[in-house]
Amino acid sequence: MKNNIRMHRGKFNLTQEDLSTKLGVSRQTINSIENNKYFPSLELGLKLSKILECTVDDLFSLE
Amino acid sequence: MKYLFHNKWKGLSGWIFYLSIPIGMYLLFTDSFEDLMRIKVFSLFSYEKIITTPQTENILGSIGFRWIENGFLDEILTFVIIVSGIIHSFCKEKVEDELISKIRMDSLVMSLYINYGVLLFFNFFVYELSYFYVMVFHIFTILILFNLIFRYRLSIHYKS
Repeated sequence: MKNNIRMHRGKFNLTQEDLSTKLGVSRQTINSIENNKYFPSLELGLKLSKILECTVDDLFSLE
Repeated sequence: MKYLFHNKWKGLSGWIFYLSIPIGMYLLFTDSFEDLMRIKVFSLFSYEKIITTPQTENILGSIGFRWIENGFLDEILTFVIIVSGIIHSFCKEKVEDELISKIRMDSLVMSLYINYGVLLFFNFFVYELSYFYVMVFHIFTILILFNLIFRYRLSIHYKS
């Protein structure tokens, strides 16, 4: 699975720290998700899509 | 994750846990447990030595529901190590998120496999009273192993 979180985050000029604060997770967790070391739960994925104003499909796709 | 303790208990429980383990090991290896804090305790189950008198054949003493004299320090230390170990192991992190929960879960599974793997090994190679010591150690090793694995994996996570 690959993701475009970094790209979508860039659109809003959000740092990993900003995004993690909005999501209520640690910065390291955002880093792990962006580097495909950890695949988030559906709940976290939906929260991410809400904050980044896109669909879950825009953020995550199967390789 | 449910059933976790508040983060404020992590430091104190850690100090107690890591201090009480060497104290317990020192007292165990110096065989001091039986001499310290000898008090009368109520025993639900304990064998007494075989009693032989001219009038009776060998008989086994009462095996339970009686007051016995016992060094109570080992019971207290066992309680302290287990309670502090559990609290320290299952305290929330400052930012408790789902990745931390996953690391905790993975570490718990890994420590359980290693703990029982080692126990199975000793099961075939350690006998008699020594095996009793192996069993005693295994009461605590799962907590120690879990903490070592979890803290190591957390440190890698926090460095990322």
